[in-house]
Amino acid sequence: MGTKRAPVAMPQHVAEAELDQLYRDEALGMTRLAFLMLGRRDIAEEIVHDAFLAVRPKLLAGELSRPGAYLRTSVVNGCRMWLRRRGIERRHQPAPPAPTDARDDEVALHLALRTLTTRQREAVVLRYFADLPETEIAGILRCRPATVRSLIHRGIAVLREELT
Amino acid sequence: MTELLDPEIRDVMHRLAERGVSSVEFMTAAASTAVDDREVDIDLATLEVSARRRPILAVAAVLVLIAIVAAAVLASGSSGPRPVEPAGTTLQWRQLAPSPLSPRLGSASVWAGDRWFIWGGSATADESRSYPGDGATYDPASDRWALVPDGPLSGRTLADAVWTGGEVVIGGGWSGTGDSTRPDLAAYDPATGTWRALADAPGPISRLEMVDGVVVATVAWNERMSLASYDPGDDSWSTPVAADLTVGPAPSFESRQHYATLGGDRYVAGDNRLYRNVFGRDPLYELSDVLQFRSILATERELLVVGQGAVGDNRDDRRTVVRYDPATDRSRIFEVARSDPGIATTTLAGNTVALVPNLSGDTVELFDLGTNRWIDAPEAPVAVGRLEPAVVWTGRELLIWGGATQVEAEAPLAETATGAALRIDDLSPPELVDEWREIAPSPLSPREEHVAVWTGTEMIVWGGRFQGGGTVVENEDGSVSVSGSAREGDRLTGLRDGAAYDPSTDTWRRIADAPFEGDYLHRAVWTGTEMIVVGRDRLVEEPDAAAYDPATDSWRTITAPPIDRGLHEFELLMIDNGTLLLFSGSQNNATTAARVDAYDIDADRWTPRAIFSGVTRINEAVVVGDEVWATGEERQADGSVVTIDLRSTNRGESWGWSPFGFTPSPDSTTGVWIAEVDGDLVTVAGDRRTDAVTTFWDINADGTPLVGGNSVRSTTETARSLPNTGFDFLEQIDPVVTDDGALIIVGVLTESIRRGPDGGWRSIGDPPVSVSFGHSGVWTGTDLIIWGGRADENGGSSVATGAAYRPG
Repeated sequence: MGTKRAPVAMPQHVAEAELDQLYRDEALGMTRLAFLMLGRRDIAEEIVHDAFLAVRPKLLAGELSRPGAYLRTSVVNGCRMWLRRRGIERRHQPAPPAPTDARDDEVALHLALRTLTTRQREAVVLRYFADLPETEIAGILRCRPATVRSLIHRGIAVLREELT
Repeated sequence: MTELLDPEIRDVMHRLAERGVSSVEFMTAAASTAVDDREVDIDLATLEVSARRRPILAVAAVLVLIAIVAAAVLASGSSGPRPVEPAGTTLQWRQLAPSPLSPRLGSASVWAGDRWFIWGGSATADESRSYPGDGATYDPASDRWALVPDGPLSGRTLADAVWTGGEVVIGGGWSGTGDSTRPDLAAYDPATGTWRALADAPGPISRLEMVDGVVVATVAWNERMSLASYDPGDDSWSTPVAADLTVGPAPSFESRQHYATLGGDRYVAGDNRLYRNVFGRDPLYELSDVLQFRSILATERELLVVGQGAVGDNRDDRRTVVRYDPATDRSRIFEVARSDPGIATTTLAGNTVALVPNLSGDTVELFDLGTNRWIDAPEAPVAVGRLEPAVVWTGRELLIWGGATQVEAEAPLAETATGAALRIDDLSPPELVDEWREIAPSPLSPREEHVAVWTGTEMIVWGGRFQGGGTVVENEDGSVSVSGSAREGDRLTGLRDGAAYDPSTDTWRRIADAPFEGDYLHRAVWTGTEMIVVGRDRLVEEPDAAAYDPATDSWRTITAPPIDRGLHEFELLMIDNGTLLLFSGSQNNATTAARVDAYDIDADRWTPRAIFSGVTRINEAVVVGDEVWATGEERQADGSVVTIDLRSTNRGESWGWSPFGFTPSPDSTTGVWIAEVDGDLVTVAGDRRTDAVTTFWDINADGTPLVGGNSVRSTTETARSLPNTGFDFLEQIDPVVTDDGALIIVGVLTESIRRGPDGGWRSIGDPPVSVSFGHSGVWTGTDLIIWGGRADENGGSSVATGAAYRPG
């Protein structure tokens, strides 16, 4: 008798300030991460915006001890969901164009990233752009660190082959 | 371009990202431009949307708001994988500051928004009991206590308390006199520090709950137990909440009933039985009679019933958590042996069930709902094993205070005023529902076209062959992988080893080697006690046939089927507990007719049942009622192959097979698979000409189940087309039918799909391991487990990885 559960709500002004800081710290990097995943800036912005919307109520409810990590996972999941929804259409469309002012090696990488599987691209971008350790990437991708190592190894091998 | 080293790839990647996104304009300049067009403001700090200036444009604002809310819902996981915080287990105790309350047990307590409210209880005083009527609040953020002013209620023990959002309502309990709990209540406002008395409930109060914002009391009187709801408007109680719950004797406050409300239903657990809405008759669930339920906890979608008891000669205590899902009426039980004497109380602590031990015990027991595993918490700074403590979950910490403890085994019970807090962070992700997860690495080498069966507790994987020209590497975690790719002409190696995977522990065990090597021509079926494998090596005259018994980890050779060497494509079907049907054929042999033979397991005897003239092979067969329905291929005079279907009633020696004619577009389909889904026979077919279209049919046009009892209602056989999946696939494992009638198909080259209760299809996403073809799949009753196969449809090597998908 007498056992109850209840969340610890963070005072709203504290949560808002934390969200504001989170946005200042993470929005640009998250959008770039999504851009590398998708090759498209417009969709990357949409997905990052959606991810911030998802973070807010959880931040207010005091459910997040690492909001940045939650945000990153939301962005990766959002990218994956978008790619999945594109399904067949994606396979029959040309790769999105590289930024107009990109250098040759950047264009090559932009195209080479599109040749990776979704999971290889996720692992490579999280490791080489977000600088995450393998264990954290494994947490985001819901797989084992050994699998992350394998995805990165194979992904980098493909990139090297495409870029040479 | 010269070969890039890793740091160079990192550098180019950063430059590309910066080139692609130079700033986050969508939240600043670009967004405000877009937002201005819609005449709404977005507060960048809060991401809130509001209409502005011209009221006529409020509709546009609402539309934008709806879109953003919908996006938020989407992003929060309602239609896709829910993000979880990365794992970083924290289980850390701290001792609470000394409280101003005297030692006691049986206090009422509730989490009141930002502080813990504790009131009442009982204590030993001069060899008699006292019932203090004072209380206090505890703020975990500052680790400080504050006394609560005296209120209108007399002191009592085992009262209950709920938090309405503004007030603590406390009532019931036993004040040391009489034979029932008390009906009176009071409300305390922590903001003003004031009490007010409420109208008495219509009977002795056993429990208070908040149901849809209303205070609901479980009351028992005149040998009836019922619910009463409180109306704060006129300070009165009414009892229309539910019909009487009791058909047997009413429980007293000393009885062991436990209550929970979920989805509008009222659940009561008493002794070893769980009831829904009516107590004492037709239990919903029944534990072994040596176990007793100790509490019911309700999450948003399932009921967690915690039990304990002694099982076996060694008298070990057991802990049991039954996870009951009312939506599927499915129960899963998770048990662990403990040497501690019992449970004092339980609470839901985030994604964990916390069990506070009774009297002895240095820490709490935790059951992780994410992984269905029991977890050992570290030792607490004070003994937390105590009788009738106050326990609450704050959202971050499990707080335990008061109760009675026993310093030594023979020492008398003594009330305590000590407390402790256990911080529980990110113990595990939420249970993976509607998501894929990777399973543990297997001890097997990579392979494809192997067989797999589900025994009820394990997935047995056996045989297959290895395609690869690379190097087999043993990884740090014990798994095996292959580096490098297969090349044209690489040898396919047959394998005779296997392993069994237990999803409840996420572990594998090797099994004994079979008497023959696997090939892509073997099929397996689970008989209930054995896995029977039948097939052949194309280069050997005699077919293979053996049975594996997991109880003895041994194989026995059985009589081989009477089929000649030209037949080497098989389908194996268990039609009852004692008989198997083996369909055999050959796609490449124009002169050999497919046939079916029956195998009597007990007699170890094969009997020919039919020869299908003109039929090259049978793709799939299923049992529907007392009939067997099959699809296959028939060679035409011009050499083309069309899809055919056959049905036969199981009539012992006199089976007759006849076409049933619902296969769609027989001249344009390939790879027809069939499955029974809630009495419908569903066919799954790819388009032979384009390999791009999938058509689904069932034969239940009016929604009436085809199967009534054990017979097929042939009068309702009209074909209708189900919605096209919208996904292309060339080949797939057998469709998996879940308990709720959904159909799951793991495709090749594309997303896996699932047909929901509404008949529509949706993607279930990519498994976290690469699969292309040649993998196995089993349905465990809760999960689809896939393993092995080839990762790359254009070549590559076999793999030794697997994943599980649990439908939401």
